[in-house]
Amino acid sequence: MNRVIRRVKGFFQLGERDAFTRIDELASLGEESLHLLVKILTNSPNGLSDVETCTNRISLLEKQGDKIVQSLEEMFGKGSISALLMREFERLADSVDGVLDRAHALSRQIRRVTKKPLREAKEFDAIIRKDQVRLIEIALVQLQGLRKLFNTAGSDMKQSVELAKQIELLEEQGDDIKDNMLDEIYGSWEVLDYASFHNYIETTIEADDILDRCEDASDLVIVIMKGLGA
Amino acid sequence: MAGLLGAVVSGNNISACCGTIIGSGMVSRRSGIVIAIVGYLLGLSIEGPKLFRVRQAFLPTETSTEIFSILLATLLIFIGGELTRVPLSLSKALTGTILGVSFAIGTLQQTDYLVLILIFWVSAPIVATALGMFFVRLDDRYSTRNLWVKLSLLKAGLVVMAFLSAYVTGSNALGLIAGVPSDQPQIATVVVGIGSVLGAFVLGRGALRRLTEGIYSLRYPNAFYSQLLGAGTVELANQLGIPLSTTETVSSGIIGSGLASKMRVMNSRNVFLIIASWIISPALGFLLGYGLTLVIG
Repeated sequence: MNRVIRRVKGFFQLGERDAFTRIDELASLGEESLHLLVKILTNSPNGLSDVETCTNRISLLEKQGDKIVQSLEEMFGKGSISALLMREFERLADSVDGVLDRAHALSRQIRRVTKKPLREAKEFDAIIRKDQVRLIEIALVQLQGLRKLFNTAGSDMKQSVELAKQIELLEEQGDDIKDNMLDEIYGSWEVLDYASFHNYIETTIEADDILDRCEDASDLVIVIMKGLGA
Repeated sequence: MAGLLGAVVSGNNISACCGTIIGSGMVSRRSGIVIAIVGYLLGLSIEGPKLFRVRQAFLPTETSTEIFSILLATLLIFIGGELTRVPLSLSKALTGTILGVSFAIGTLQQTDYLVLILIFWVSAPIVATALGMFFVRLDDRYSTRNLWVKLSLLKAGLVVMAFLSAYVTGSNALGLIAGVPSDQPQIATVVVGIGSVLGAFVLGRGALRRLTEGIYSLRYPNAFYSQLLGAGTVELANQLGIPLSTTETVSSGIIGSGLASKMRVMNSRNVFLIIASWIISPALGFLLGYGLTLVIG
């Protein structure tokens, strides 16, 4: 009897909705990672053990994210969602997973620098870190918006489009901050050694990438909803 | 021969009937095939005899050689279609063959009925295309704002549509085949029924492998409305005893619903192929039926 009820229930169950729920879980892991990243960047000067603890937690979250992505791929492979939107769903999962990957890479780089501080960049470091925090905080707001988008997408398309627009605006805001940071870094080339210069360029681009990923994800949610008939 | 034709029709139509529900993971492949078989058999036994009218009208008295010519010609057309990968309509080819044989032996008289069939063949795709556009536009405008509720209902509705598509295929296409051997319609119905069961299991698997190329890659509303139109139009044709291809009406519904969704790029080669097959199938059936009757008869 239970089996029959489960079967009948299955007729009404939507793979697309389940996929959104799973990707939302992925985004929640990303949110936690970004919170930890902000913690690492703001509690300056950090003790190595604090940074180690946060980085280890981010690594764990990244691994959990990989497991969710794997289960999503299995779900797509079984044909639970419309073939027409399969690619978009894969890209969506990849974009949100990208947030976790970048947060992971950033935390490891910060740990590396904390282990062996860069001698000539201490003053400059404080300024750049402040801007990096601003970037990550914008990404956090974007990610919270994205999670809200996952929940409203099926019921209110108008609000969803509005949310996607807000996420896009935040990305543009982040772009301006990134440009200013890069100008600052290039303008200070004389006071920076190669390792510092490279470190700042890489981490700035990496942080901005998180914002791009969030924007890509929100655009994909809208594309999927339209594809589903919204 | 009738059993063999029943098998190929059943196997060939599995993906059109149950492709969506199997492909979207709603039911297993086996359950999908079982739904199709139940639909085929119910359609064949309940409304199949209505299609006996085609043979009765154009070949009131037929010989074993003529029956053999009709079935062989239709089978050859089907094999030719499979080899050349042209989606030929079996019910149209079979009707064309009956007409060809009837013309060859000089019994082609029921012109009113023939005109009605031709009107249906020409108008059904046009009406299905127009209704496909209409339904999808109506759906876009008036359906519930909660997309998940709407999609859940459409998805569950697709199971019903799969069964109805199989039912109308059973009554229209399989009924048409079972009506060819005039002196033993009951035995022919049983043989065609057995053939359809075997065909669904043996040939249906191959057809299901091509799922992603077919109806499954549609939006849920488009898939639902095109199947609804396909089944509805063929059921209307059943009531008048007119042979009509399920795949043809479903394809028209797909084109219509695609146009309503502002589909700007259409695979013109595929559309041309579908339209060509609508004309080629009966013409080829007529010529082959006529030729075989002259040669064998």
